[in-house]
Amino acid sequence: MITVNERNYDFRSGMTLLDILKTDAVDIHGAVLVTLNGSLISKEKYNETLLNDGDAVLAIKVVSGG
Amino acid sequence: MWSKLIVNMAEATVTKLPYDEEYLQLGGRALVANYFMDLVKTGKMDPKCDPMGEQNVLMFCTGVLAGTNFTTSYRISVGCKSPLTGGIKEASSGGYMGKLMADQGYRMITVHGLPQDGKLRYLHIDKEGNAELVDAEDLRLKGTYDVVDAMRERYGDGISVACIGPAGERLYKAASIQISEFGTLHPSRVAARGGVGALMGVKGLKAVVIEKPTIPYKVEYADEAMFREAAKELNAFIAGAAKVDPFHNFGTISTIEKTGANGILPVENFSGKLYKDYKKLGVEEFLGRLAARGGCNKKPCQPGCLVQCSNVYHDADGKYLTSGFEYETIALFGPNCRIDDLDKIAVMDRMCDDIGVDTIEMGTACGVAMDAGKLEWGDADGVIAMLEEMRQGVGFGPTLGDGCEAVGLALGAKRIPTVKHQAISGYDPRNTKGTGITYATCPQGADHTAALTMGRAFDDAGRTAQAYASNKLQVAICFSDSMMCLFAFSNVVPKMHLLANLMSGLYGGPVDITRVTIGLGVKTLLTERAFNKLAGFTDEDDKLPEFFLTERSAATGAVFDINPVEMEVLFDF
Amino acid sequence: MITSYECFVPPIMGFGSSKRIGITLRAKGYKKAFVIYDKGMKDFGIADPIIENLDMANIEAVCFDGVLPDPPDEMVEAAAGIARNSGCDVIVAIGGGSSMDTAKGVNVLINNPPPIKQYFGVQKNLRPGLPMVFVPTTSGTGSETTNMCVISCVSEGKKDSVVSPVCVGTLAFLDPELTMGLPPKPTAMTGIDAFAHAVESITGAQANPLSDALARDAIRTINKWLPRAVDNGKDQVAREKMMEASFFAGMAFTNALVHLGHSIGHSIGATFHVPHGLACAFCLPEVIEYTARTESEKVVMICEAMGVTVPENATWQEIGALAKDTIRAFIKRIGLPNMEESGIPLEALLKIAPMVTADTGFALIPYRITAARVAEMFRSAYSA
Repeated sequence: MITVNERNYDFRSGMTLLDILKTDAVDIHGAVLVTLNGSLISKEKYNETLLNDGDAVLAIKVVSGG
Repeated sequence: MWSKLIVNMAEATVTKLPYDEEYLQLGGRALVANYFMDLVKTGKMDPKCDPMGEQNVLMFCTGVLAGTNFTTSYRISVGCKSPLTGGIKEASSGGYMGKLMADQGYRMITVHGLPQDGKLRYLHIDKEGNAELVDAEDLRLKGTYDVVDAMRERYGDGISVACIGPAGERLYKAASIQISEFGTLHPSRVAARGGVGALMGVKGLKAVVIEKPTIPYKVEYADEAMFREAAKELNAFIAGAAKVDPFHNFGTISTIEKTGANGILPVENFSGKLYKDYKKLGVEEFLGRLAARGGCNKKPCQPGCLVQCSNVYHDADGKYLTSGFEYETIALFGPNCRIDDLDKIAVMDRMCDDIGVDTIEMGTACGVAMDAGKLEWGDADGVIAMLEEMRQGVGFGPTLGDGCEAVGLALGAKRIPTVKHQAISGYDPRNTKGTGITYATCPQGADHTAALTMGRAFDDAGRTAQAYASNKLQVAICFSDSMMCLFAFSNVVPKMHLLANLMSGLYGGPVDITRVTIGLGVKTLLTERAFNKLAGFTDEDDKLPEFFLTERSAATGAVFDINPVEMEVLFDF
Repeated sequence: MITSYECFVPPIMGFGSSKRIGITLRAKGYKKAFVIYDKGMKDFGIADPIIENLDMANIEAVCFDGVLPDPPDEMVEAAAGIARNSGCDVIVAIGGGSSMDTAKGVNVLINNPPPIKQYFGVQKNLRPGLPMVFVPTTSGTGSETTNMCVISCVSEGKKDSVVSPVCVGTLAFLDPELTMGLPPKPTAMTGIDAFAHAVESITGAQANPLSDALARDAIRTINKWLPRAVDNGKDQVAREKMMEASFFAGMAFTNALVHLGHSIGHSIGATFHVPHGLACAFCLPEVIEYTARTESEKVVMICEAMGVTVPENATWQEIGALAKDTIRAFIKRIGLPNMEESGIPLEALLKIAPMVTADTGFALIPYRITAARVAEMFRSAYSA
């Protein structure tokens, strides 16, 4: 099982970060920062980052300022 | 029963009194507005008085939920008539002061009068709750880091320190009051805007040092069960929302990932251009340096905070450099000055904290200085040298210390980004028009935290719903700033109605959200406007600088073209 | 001001155009249609010919005839459940706003899990559903042109919209033949809804030159032809013109958005259970008058499109008053009652002014007003 913002998805071997983001309908071209198990992954690497069963992905939208 | 502390600098006395019954259900921004309006109504303060004169009062107060376990209830507010804007000023901050003030049983500390003997003092509240003014001559012109070190030596680590640096002592209009962070004690949280540090300086008060009391004050609840149930639900909700909050995960620097992409990031003194290399100051770069050098993020600046947006930043040698390193500082010293060296900006952040000055005024002032040709664009070392002059009080330093408008006027600049004499912050108003409306109309002067509308209208650079968003948020932030931290508030909105339960649980009375939305929200805003009107402000003061209306942003083609009627009616309730 | 125009649904227009539905959908490669309509469409004999037309083109139809007015979320979720398992590759909606909004709600739930209420608001990242084909039978809500659907949340007792690209149709058949049987009262009420779309979009904050052109034309057409369609439902030209105007007005407001008229309409409709078009019409004259302060040029456009000349040096107050009187006369001309005549009690009406200012559409009004000002509009319109 993979989670994206705590939503559950089945894990399939060979799945990339880009795959799961698309499945979760994340707007990767917007101001979104993605972490995998707490580590930031840069956008260019979404396609080459393979997932493992149990991985937790956060898709974090930058909305406000401070 | 809560208490208040009256500090008289003319007589060098400190008096503890019961906290006013009628202020019990006020705190933070709402309390500041009411207190200063009451001073005016009772004839104790002429609203047109010189803010650096004898009539102005410097107030430190907690939020209305201080002393409880509701997350971020320990924000601290500094209130006064602003030496920079001349209007009502509430500068809020995180840090440890709110917690220790509440533990000591104080909702409010007010500092009155001017010292007659020219001496510098600090206020000390000890473990038993005794409060006294102590000679601070040996701390004259010391930076805030040295002040904190001195206090730690005297009183140990269980303290909070609010202090001014040389900027406040030199009465610079951009002077801040630095507040030590929970845990680290670094003086990197700050009541920054409006020159509150100058007021503290003219009153001869170097610091307020509060020791953790042996017997902490216990809050009395009208209905403790109701409070605890609501607080439990709200805290859990905020903790959950924080998991996907960029401020928790990365820090406020993450904002640049959005503003850099869409033209909201200020570039070259608000030229409206895009900055190609904004990612040099982005999250990836920032996290990489933290990891490699021993810094960290996800730090709470006050106990119990569930958002934990603060950070500690080390230099290339792995040594501590600065903390509370925030988007505004990075944007305004950064692309606004064509500087993209994160380490050099961190040095500037450290210097500003140590000198005790508002980084927003400084960043915009340096942008204006570069635009006027005093420095080259991108000259980070030149900026650092100018900041050092300011610490020493020499050369261009005093002008810089008076902030963005002073620098602009001194250099004959045509493009000075201020409203009510206060510098606008890290958002170009042409490309987030609702924020532009906030800058123009907010009684605090140009203030983005008062209502940053980015992402809340259809198109940030368009017209639709901008005035609506600014109005709604300005009200919301008024009550948020009276009870909690804005960053926790932005995560609690779906459960906002439970704030009424907190008020009822703590103070009794009906569970009625209008106690919050109107009582602390709308009424505060209208009171602030009324104060400003008495202080001499007119509709002319609710305008953005002309150049935003005429110069097109190269990033979006936009000018600030909001119909003035929309702004005139913004506060019709 | 930089504006944009984004949302567009291609139409096939004219008398008899709905007879092309079978061959058109076949040519697009569709094989199985989920057809959504209400029992009225069956009873009036509108649904069956279309289903047969599909069948003759070898397109199988799975029918859902349970559309209810002010589509309740429970009904939409039930329909979506059937649609998801039906193996259909296109959705066809026949009817007024309720049928079309039901279809859109179903489409949201094809690849996004229920409940639909979690998707209220602007949704940029919903998973796409099926192509949608709209066959409006009123002129009209313009729902065939928009990117939103209004759903009633039964459990919370409120209505809200899902705004998303998933709610945008692929094709619309605008066949005036299907509106020939609409009686005078619904003709007037749906017609005034189209009129409200046009005048609100032209004075709204997202107005742009393209939507303004469409709105002006719609106002001109409705002004001339709606009275005729109300007086004589068999007037083919009137029905054709109204279908066209409704579509133009829909195109205008789908991009420029509506504002105070509809915020008032939603509040009055929800509280006093008045049909949507009528609820929007009650205070429309006062609403347009109010907009003149910041949109006087646009209000002049409205007057001129209704055949009224505005004096050169008129102040915005005068322009507003002229528009108010003109629009009110038009509303009366098509036989619509005012609030007093509709049996709405004045005291109860004044009480809902704060509901108007709390409507989500209130964010879109040209300049801020107070609930007290809305109450003034109510008073002015009440027995006008």
